[in-house]
Amino acid sequence: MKTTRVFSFSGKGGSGKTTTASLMMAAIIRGRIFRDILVIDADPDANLSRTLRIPVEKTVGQAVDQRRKELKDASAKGTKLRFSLLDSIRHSEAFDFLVMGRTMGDGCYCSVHSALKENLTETMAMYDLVLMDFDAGLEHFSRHSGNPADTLLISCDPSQLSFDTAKRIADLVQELSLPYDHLYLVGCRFPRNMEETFFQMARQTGIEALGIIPDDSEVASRNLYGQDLISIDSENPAFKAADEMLRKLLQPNAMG
Amino acid sequence: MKEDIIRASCAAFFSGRGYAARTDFTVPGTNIFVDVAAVQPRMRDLKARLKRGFVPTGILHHLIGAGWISLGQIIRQTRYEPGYVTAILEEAAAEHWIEIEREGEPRCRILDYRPPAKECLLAFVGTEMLLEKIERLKELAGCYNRALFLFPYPVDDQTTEQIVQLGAGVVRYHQEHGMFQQLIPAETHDIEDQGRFALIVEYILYENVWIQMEDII
Repeated sequence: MKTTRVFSFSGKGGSGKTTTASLMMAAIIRGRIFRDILVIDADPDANLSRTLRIPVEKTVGQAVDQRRKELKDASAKGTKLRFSLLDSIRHSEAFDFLVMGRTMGDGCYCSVHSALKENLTETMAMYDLVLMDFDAGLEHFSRHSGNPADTLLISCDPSQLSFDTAKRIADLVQELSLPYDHLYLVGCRFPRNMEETFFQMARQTGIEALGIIPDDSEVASRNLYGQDLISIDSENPAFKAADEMLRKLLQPNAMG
Repeated sequence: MKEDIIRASCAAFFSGRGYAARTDFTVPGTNIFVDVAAVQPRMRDLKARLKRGFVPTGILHHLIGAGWISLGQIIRQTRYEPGYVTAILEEAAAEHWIEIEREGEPRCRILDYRPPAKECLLAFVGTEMLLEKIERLKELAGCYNRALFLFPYPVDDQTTEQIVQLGAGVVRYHQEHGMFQQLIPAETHDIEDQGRFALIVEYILYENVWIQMEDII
């Protein structure tokens, strides 16, 4: 039975997780390592659409809101959530893309969220690789699968707050028994003279350091001007760092 | 233990892992019976079918990999009524699954077809008619990726050898724990018979999607 590999990206807001995820995605596409890839932007401040250069028409949040509205009105038929979810998936040549977005309605509608979780799990099972970018809160993806191939990458910029958040995420993973087989810390925007500090601080968190995406003017410029990162030059140092980290992740012993 | 318990458990096992499954499956166009068939859908192709309707593979599978093929030849191969075949082909052309050339003798070719699944698994319960099932599996060579033989008890070396020679896997089913224990992994085969593979996956997915239509939420 084929197993879906899941790479999740988390970390403090602005710590570089979207940049890391995008650069790693660029490396995955160029390496032609996986055939069917789903990228999920689960960060409420969704930016992957821009960095991966793929427009978004619908979000899952909108689909959930729509379905909730229809279910409140007993006479309304409408599209079942499962099919709205499929409709929300955008396709590019190299990967499929799904934005979670936010729900706007008031009140709890647990059955819809429960159905969403089930449908998401089934959807993810159709892919060879699922790459997820989300914020520091992990609860909404708790126990999405029992997949031993899941990997969580926590990004850290040069700030104590960032390491504190990383530690909190690692604690949350343990507390909630989330099915991440491996947790890694990824340093972002560390100047060369502070790289050793990153590794020292990583050791203090108890989370294995995967590597550093260096402070890079090309990446900064693309982010500043709203350009994508997917087309970045293969010789770019930040891209090369992401590519190297990807190779580490794909080594058989990284699977546990 | 009854075979149908193992079949149902096996189908449930696959269904819970994103596969579309079917028990007691007769491979379309044959009299070959499979205890459990499971296919792993491919998102883009599944969505295409949800938008455009499923491919009438019973007729169109003759066109897969065949290039241009005349209407007369399709009718001969399918052995269906000409009017029925023509109607199906017209409908398929309207949905852009095929192209019809109408000058001279009409002929058709399939357009950019890809089966809506990336993997097809076949499973047989080995407690009864094992030798016959092994023969059935041999007849299906080229249209599945992996095959499994399921037993609710330990299997002797001779039986294991027979199964392994086919590249199939051996799985022990522990009913009390609802657990499938993989004793020998199945080899992965390339799909060589694209037409029959397409028939299997389209059929199973179609049925599964109809069930999913009954979702309440």
